[in-house]
Amino acid sequence: MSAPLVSVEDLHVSFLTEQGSVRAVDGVSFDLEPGKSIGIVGESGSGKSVTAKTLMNLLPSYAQVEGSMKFDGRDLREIAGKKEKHFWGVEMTMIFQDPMTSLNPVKRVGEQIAESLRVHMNRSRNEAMAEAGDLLEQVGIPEPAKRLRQYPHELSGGLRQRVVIAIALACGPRLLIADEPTTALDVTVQKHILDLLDDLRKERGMSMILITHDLGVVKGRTDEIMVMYGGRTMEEAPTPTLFECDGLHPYTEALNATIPRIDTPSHTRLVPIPGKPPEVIGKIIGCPFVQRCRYSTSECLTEMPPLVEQGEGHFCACHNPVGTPEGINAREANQNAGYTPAGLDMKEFEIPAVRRDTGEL
Amino acid sequence: MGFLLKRIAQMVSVIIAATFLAFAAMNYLGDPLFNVVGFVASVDCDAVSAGEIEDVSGQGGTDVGDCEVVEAAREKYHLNDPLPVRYVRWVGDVVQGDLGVSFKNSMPVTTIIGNRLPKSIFLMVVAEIFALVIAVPAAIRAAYKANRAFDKSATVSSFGFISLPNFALGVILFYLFVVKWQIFPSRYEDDDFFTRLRSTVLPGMTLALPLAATYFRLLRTDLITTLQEDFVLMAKAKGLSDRWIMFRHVLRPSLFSLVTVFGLSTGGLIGGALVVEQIFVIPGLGRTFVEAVIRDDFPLVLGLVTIISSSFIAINFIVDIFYSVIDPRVSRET
Repeated sequence: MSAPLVSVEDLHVSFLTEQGSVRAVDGVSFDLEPGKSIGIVGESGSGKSVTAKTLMNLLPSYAQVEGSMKFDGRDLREIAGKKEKHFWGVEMTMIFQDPMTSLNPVKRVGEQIAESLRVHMNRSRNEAMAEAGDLLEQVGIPEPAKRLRQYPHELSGGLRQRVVIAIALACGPRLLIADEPTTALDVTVQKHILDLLDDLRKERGMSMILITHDLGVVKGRTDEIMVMYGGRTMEEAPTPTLFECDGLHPYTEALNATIPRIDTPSHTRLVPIPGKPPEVIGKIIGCPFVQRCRYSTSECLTEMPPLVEQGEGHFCACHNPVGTPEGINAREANQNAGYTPAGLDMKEFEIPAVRRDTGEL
Repeated sequence: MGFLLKRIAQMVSVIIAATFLAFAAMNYLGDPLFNVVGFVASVDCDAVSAGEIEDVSGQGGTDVGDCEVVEAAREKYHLNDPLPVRYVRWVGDVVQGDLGVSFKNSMPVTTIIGNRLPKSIFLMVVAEIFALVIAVPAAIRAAYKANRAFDKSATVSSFGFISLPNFALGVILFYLFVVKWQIFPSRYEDDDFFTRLRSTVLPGMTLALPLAATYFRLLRTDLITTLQEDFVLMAKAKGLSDRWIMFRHVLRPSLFSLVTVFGLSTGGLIGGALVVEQIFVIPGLGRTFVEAVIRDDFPLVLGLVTIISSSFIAINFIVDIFYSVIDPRVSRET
């Protein structure tokens, strides 16, 4: 095992609001080796984007950050404090969800790629523009010379996301954080973009953090997967291990059930997760997922389960993991009672029936 | 090219509508004949020709009868023709560069306007430069550190300047800088560029401060909105400096409201700076306009309406072009 490129330890991020301090990230740790990729999966509000923005030093000034974040052995918060000019955008960079809004609408595509090169790599305007053309070619955009002179609104969504990727790659970063890079794109384009990111990462030996709400996106693409909920790590495992058992954590299992698969018979119903992710204000006791979990026991209400190793490299934070005797017992007990200890009606977990006449739920 | 032709056609029709309305209003509200010949206009010439009353002749010692005077005036100014015909004749003259002769002092309207327009334009330019020089840097600073001390004090004072009426601000400045400290001249001097500038600083400031306050508020709000855009986050992730992001990414897409109001206020300042021209005794278009209206000086009013509406339309045409310079998504065809 080589030294990690990124090492996050016990990261806490909270925002001060009028209602109190909102804990967006609550004790997250992970390591990422050079050239490897990790997928962070979770619903909106699970803390995955905040984790990424914390690494990128993009949080608003009222955010409170605790814990340690290291990049290649250097303390990221120290680098931020020194206002180092050529770190973000050069060593590590980030791309965002919506390519429609993450490009400046009033600047030509070429300028937007070239400006990083001019600012960080000291290139002249012409050199930077020539390199921008090469980058467009690398991300698979035909006729780069023509595209350089176009404005973002003249490109399709897929092309724009390729431009965003070209911008991110301009200065040859060692780490790329992709925050839901395909969520705003249609399905066929999604695959192209994900494959492109994969290829570029392997070609350049770059590390990547791929953030998504869709387990299907990280499946077979990243080396590791970390499932987050309520600002905490619920489960972490090498990708093949996680998909072998379809998730030890009830949340992972539930996420898995929400995605359509090719190998299941057609007309298989997708199962939504009842309820909404919690907004964690103040200190919470117990497991953040307890309100929506069908494996919950009274212990879950009062005690946050620690992240323990269940198999090799497979960590899970649950008192009653799926498929274990505790899990099976807890689920049966709840099924018999009709309610979970958190007061959730077990009927909520039944696959919703579609009304024959209207086709609505 | 088609766009340009369409816009020019639009502009011409607006000018025609404005001048025709002014033409009709002047005709119906006042009697042009009265303005030319005075009280004689009220002589009942039908009764005179019917022999019912005697024509009071000898106006000013001449032996021309009043009705003849009236008839001659009607003939000279084509007052017997219907209104549209007279309007078309007026337009024909205007196209040839003839705006007519002032009723009051018999000077050609073009000479009067030619004398006063440069002073008004100069005042307008000085005022707009002051306003922008104050507002743009202040708005950038305030938006960059929104809700901090500078932003808060600038916002409060901008409210003050917006709500302070022109005449009050003008009088205060006049008292302080002319009467008390005697920094600026009390009379409008127009010998060379320097004296003209000296005489225009105070009235320019009087116009600029409320304008600057408006500009400041518009630009600050738009900048703050733009700063929340995703592409700003992206620019930060690219490692660009705050200064680079503000000037090269945020400023341009935030200019829309400012440019719109700039166009309207610039157009309004030509001929609309009456109060300030009055306080600082500047012989500009604003005062000329009011005097012309009060005296029913028909050709002068129409000449001024033509010039002012044309400049207003021209400025806003430039503003429209500028939109598509600011944002390439704004199509020139719409």
